[in-house]
Amino acid sequence: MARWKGSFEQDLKKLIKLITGFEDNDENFHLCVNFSTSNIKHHKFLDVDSHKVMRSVEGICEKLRIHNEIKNAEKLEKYVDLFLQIPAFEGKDIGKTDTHYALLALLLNLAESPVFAEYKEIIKEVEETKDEFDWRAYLLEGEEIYIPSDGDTTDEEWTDEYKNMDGPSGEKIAVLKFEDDRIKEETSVTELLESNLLSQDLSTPAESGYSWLINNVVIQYWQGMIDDNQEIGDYPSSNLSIDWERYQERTNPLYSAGNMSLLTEIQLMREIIWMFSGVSSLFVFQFDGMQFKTRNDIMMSHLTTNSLQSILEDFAKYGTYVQVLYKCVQKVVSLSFCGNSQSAETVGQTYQAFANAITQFLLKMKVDMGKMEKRLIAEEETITMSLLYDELKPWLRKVVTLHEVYVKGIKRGYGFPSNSQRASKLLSAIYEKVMEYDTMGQYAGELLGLLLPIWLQTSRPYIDIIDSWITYGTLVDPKEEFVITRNREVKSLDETFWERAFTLHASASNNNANEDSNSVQKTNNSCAQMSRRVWAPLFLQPILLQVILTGKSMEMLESLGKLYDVVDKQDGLTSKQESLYEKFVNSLQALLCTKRVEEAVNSIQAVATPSKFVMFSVQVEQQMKLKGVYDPLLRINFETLFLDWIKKSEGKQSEEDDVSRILDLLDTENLQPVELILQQCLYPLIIKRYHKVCTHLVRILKEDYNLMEYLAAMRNFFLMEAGDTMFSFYTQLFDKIRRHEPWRDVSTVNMLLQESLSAHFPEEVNRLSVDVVIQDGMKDGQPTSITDCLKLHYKVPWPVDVVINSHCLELYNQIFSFLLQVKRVKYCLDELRFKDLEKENILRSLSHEKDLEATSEPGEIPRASRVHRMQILRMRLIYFVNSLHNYVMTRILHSTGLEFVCDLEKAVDLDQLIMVHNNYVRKIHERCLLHKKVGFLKEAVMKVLNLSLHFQRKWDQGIDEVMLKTIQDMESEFTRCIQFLASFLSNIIKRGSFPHLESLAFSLVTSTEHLTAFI
Amino acid sequence: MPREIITLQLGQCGNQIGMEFWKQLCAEHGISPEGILEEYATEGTDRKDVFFYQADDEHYIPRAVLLDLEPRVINGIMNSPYSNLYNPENIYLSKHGGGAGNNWASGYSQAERLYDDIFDIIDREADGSDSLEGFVLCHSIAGGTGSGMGSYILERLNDRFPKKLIQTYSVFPNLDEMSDVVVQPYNSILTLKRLTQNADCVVVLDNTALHRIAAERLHIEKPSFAQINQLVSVVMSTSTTTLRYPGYMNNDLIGLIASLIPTPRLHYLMTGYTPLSTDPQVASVRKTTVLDVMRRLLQPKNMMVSTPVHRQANHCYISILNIIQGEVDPTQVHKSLQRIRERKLAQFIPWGPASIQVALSRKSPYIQTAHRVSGLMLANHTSISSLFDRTLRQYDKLRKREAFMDQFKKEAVFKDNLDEFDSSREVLQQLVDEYGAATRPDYLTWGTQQASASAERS
Repeated sequence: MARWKGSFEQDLKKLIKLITGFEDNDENFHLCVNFSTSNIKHHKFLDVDSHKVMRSVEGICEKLRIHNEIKNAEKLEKYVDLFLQIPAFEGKDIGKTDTHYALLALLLNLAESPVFAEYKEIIKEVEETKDEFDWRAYLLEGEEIYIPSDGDTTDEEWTDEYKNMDGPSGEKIAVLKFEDDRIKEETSVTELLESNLLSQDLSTPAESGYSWLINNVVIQYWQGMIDDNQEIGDYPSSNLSIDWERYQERTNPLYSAGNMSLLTEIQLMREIIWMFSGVSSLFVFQFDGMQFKTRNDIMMSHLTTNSLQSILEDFAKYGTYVQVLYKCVQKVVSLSFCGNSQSAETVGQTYQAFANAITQFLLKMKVDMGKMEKRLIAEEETITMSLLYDELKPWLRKVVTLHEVYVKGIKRGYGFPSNSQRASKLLSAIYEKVMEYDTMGQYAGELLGLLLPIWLQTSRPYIDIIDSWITYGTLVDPKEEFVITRNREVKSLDETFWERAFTLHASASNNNANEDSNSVQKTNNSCAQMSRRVWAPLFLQPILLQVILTGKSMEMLESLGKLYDVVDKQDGLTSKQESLYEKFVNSLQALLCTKRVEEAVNSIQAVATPSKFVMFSVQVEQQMKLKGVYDPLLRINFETLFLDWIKKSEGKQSEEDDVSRILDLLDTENLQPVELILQQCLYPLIIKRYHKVCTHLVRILKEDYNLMEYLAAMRNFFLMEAGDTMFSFYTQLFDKIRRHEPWRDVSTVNMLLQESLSAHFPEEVNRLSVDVVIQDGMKDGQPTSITDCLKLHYKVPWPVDVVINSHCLELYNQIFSFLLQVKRVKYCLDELRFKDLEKENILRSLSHEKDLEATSEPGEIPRASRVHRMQILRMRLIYFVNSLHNYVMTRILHSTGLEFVCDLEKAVDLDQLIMVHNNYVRKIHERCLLHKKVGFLKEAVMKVLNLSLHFQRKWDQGIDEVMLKTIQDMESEFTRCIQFLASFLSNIIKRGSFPHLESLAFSLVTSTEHLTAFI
Repeated sequence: MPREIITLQLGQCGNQIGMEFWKQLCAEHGISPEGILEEYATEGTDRKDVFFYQADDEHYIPRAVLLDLEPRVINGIMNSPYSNLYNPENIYLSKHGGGAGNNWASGYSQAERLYDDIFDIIDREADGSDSLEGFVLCHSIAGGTGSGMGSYILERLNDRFPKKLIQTYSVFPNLDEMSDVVVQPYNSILTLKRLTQNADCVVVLDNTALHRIAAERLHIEKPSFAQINQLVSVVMSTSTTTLRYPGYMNNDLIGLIASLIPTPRLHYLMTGYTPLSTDPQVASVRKTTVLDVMRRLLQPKNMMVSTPVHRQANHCYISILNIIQGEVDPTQVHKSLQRIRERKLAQFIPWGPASIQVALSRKSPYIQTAHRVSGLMLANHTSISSLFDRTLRQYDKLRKREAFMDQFKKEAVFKDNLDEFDSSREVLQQLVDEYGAATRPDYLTWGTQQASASAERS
């Protein structure tokens, strides 16, 4: 400073003048000069500290080195040294003067804040210019995109997803193309890669920077290296945890805080997000194979451990759900890849579809989580855990719902042995959920929007199975997950086909044992059907019967070779048509997509229009022109011919996308009740098909296979509606019996039958035969049972024997036997001639004289009187038998037959047809008093019938052989029987329980009036 | 295997109604007068072979035997379009052609003489059938040929074909034309004895009632024989319809008759037919339901026997058979039966069941009728005895004066004595008595009284 004395006063004055503008003689000027000189003179201005300068230069160099700018650092050092060596200042011949250092210091200061303005980086154009060229499209041009068979996830979805993944590891994985959805594995791979990178960093001994770095780099909390110098924020709340710890330590002498890792909230939140993205090996949340557990040795500065734990546990719960879903997907995928048919556990397509649907959901969630993590990393907004929780809430709800579905549908289904049960359990579970949220209305709209597509996707394989079954007649069910299986033991050309060809999966344990009971149940009661339906998915239950019937009808048509009639054939070239599922989804869309239907249509059209069809390539056309065979008309024809087909086949590729897009587009907000949707969308499709197929089958049976003629034949012969034919058969037979001629051999009986048939039914001669089955049990001595050994046989060909099965034939035969008995009694009574009764016994007429005496035996009434009583008894017997005969033939067989024909017309499907027929047979069987219920009635009737035959024998022997007592016995027995029947029947009809018996009862009641009148 | 029925047409009346009967059958089966199946007759569900057989050239030939002692009616038939229908071998005309002169005895004697010729024909017919059910005899009881010859043939048929049914359609004389043949009571009583003893079933066609019905129901002032015979043919064809159109019931004649006839002698059946109208306008107004038809059939005015059915309270139905033609639901039939029984529209015997049977039958597809449903009633009614009673009274009047007895005494039967008259009268009287007894509840024990009565007499 001293060397400046004297010189600086002039300069000072100049400066003041320049700055203030005061003149020399100005008062103010003097004041200023005084002030500044005193300032200069009496204030200290330190010289530059050479060491300080040198140290900061060194620091810069080191900094440069750290930043890997070693060259610059060296340069800087060199130039500083050079500068300091130069002897230029203060007239000295050596360097390193104060001036040198002052200059350096000035430069350094300038460098730190050149103008003290905020530095604005000049934003340069990012070097990596966005590549406009679509390499993927280019590379994939003309390639077939491989679509994995087990799902409809395309690679695109994967890449889409990974584009949003952050961090280098994510990108690396994007390169890895997995053909399946092993999310779990991938994520573990990320973990692996990450940890590898880190461990590499740590393990490779960096020469000089390592020790330095270890102090400077951010602590890896997951490595358990806890930064000891806990930074304490300015706010009291941020020290809450420490305060609390201290308080605890103070109040509780035994308390030990343990070794806690201190984490920031952001770290925790990222962990949470990772957890939700499906990562299982985490620091904070530890996955033990079952669920996530929170690590309890972590802490946060502004929360006590307890509250932290409780918050984290909440997250962990959801994390567990997510993980369970991932695990589920993984399991399904791994099983479906390794699970061949040999392996015990196969996984159904339904499961695969469900896994796929869940995967899609999880992917979406992951994308969302990725976005969330980016926001966290950016730290541009305040996000706390509770905020995060709120933000994630929609996702969490969905996760919970899906987990519930999983638990209900899959976890509980693991116990079931068959795929069908599991599949239906799953479908039912989802459906139940859908219904549950559906009833909640608007509150669950979002969840419904989630569940409905999932349900739709999951049910796709199932619906496809149904589709192929009811549309093409093939039950494609490799994994046996459909509720119905083809019973392989039953050939299609079998009369039991309809009943037994397909088995519902009814019981868990033994299928074989159940088959029989199934078929029995089917014929019997509908309540059993309800119990069996348990294993059909819920949504299918209202329509299951139609599905089964349609399927069976298809199978039947196939074996009849008539399948072609019902398989839709819109045009010959494309056998493939819109599947049931697509139709279903489309109609769903039509029903629901009121909001964005335009959009959807546009997008679909956008897909469709670019596929402008070019019939011939340019070259071909040129060739054709050259050769002179170019015919524009032909070309147009070809185009119109193939255009539809081409369009369709092209549309096919995007079809998968369409379906899923449509699913996304479903507007769940104005969703109607789900049942209604099903009724409007799915059921009509099935029912339409059902009507088409079943009515066709019935028509074919009726028209091509003459079902009606066979049924008519049943009625003609077994029920004797062909009165004269059967009449001529049985009267000859009865005559033989009456004359005691041998008749009980097959050839005689058959000859009689064929002779009778030849008049009006020559074509039936080959089909109808009669068999004589003599059983020991039949010889019970009753005269009526003599004809029971006759059994009619009618050859019923397949497929008519599905309707007229052997059981029905058995019943028919029983009715036939009964009718034969009635007819025989009637015939026998009709044929009684008065002359036969009154004929003179040859032996007696020889000893005529004695006979006169014999008649005068005590107690015996005259001959004429006995004759008269016999005649009257004959009349009564005839009346009874006629009434019975009339009742059976008209009221039962004829009327019921008319009803039957009427019902038959109404029958839509084969099942109804069979049922109607069975009902008919059962009804007439019952009404012919053959059922056990009315056994006592039949007993009484049979008594009278037997009595009549007995009477006929007595009659034929002539009156002389008939004692009065015999007549009286017969009279009283007949009266007893008839009175019993009459009173019983009149009671019955008073109750009105058997309307059909009314006529019989009435005729019997009136026939006994004369008895009651004067007895 | 059909149950064939051979029709015997005797005398003027028998041949006339027989011819109408065959005309009707031909029309119903779609057979032309020449015996050839008409082209439209394609429905093969009817049973022609009961009454027809087919010749080698596919002609349908009636199983009919035409017998007469005078040529007039048969010549008329042979000059009609139906001349080629019959088997000429089955037509037998007495060689001298003199007829029987309304004399039963003459007819009887001539028949006796012609026995071989007649039974050649009948035997041939019987042999030509597989399982002959029986014979149907058409005749009148008042004339000479039908009654006399008929009586003889009845007796012989019973001998030769004891197992076969004999049903007769017997025309009873018109009381208004009493004066035409004064010996009617003689002829009737002699014929009725045979009908009672040798026939299984007699369908009574009362000319008096037929004329009344023609006049009242059909509004024909002076009904011709042809019109009356038309009525008869309807009755005859309908009563055989169940045999010709096979249904699921009633396939034989015996099945129909057996329930109608409780005891051997009570086998005279009345008939009734509804709706009877020739005027299509009447038909269009009338509604025919099953109940309607069955109720109408029970009305006396529709009965083809002129007896005061309801005036005598005691008389009652022994049994009824309704043959209902047309499309009928069996349940309706049962309902109608129930109605009739509940309302007691018909009075039944007090000793047996109230036997109303209904046989349903199809209609011929070739004959258009205005009515949906039509019905024939065959009824066994005790009031039929009033006809016999009347005949007996008239016979007694004639017998008192020995009127016209000379003609009878000329014939072999009455050469020695008139016992035949007496026995006939007794048989008929017994019949009347039995009908009377059948109206009472103690008919069950009637035989005992009869027996004791006869025992006393003897």
